[in-house]
Amino acid sequence: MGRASIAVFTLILALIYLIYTGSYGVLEVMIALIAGLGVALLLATDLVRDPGKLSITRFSRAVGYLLKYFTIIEAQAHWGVVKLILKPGASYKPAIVRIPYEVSSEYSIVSIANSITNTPGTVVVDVDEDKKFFYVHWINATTLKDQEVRRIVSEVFEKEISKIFE
Amino acid sequence: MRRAEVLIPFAIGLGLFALTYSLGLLNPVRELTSLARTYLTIIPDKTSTYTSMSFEVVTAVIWDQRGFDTFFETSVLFLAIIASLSLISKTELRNIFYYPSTPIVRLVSRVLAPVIIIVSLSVAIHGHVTPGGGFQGGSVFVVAPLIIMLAFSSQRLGTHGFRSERFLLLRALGVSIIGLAGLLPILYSNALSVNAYLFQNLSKPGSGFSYPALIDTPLFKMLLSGSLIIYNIAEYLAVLTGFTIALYYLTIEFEKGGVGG
Repeated sequence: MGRASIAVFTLILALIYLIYTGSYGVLEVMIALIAGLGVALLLATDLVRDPGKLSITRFSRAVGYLLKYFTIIEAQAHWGVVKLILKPGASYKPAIVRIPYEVSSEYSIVSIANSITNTPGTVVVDVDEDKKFFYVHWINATTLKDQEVRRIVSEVFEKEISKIFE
Repeated sequence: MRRAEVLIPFAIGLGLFALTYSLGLLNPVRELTSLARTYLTIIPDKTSTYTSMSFEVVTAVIWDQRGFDTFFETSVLFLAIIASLSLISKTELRNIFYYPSTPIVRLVSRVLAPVIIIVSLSVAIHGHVTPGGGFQGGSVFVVAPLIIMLAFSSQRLGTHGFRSERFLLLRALGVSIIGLAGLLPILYSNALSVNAYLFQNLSKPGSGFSYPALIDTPLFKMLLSGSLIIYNIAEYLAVLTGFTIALYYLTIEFEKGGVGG
């Protein structure tokens, strides 16, 4: 069961080792692969639970999402906070809001939560796994209704990320 | 109250300035001392008779120039861990109270732990060419079991093959390798009746003993810097196992509700 997980993480770890070391001789590549295999056997046997989901399409979607996230979405969120700061009178309403989610894979939950936290203005404070809620601190809570908050804060992330991990 | 809040930091700052000024630290001498110049020029120089064949002067000084000293430092750490283990060896694993962490913390620590370990390995085995080495690599390694224990519980380490007896054995092995590598020149000198120094690395004037400094094959070249790589790997083993065991027992104490509770 863990064979795909070990293979994937051996390659990822070997790559990290080589990049960190910064030297790419035959010997280093050999050490990187052996060390990567050892560490993967020790710690990464259950990190890929469904090998059927590993595909080029999903990987390219992930790269596309990261590009879009770190350029357009981040810029929009930053601009929103900049406007809040520059607006005279400090008329924003900070609140902790509840956002429902509908994904089930652990990777999806974590990616959505990290996407929310990494954009300025919103921070995930807690996750309720049983009821499927994120509790999010939002610097300018324009609404407190679950579905409306979801539409404003996390719908983009959820739509894109469920195509990658679900 | 208000005045004290301003005056105290001001007085401390003035005192620090006066101290640094009177010690001449504001205008440091820019020339190297002769000892520093000797180390910086001779150790990395491959043609010198006193070379350590290592670009990393700190590692060379620690293990080659004063290996005896470093051996006893490692032994002190070894004994300190043994002492702290014997203090908390009565630990029982009943009634462990445990807060479940969120899936975010759990997944991120599961993914990051192997990454931390692979980086620590690179730090340890390149200790003779880069800033780093066995102790640094071992200290980096320990972060991985620590975040796993904090995200799950101390018992989670067991699923990754952790047994404290196994780690104690590896730890003793690490310290033994350092001791043996230091003693080997003496054994060699007694067996072949040539001159050799305790903790000697490469050959020196008047002593024929030398650890291999460079493996040169057509396929690859591997710089070993003599005993430095052996010491670094053994120290890595000793440090990572020692700190992991210590943190394991400390985490158990915290899960029970605090040391002394």
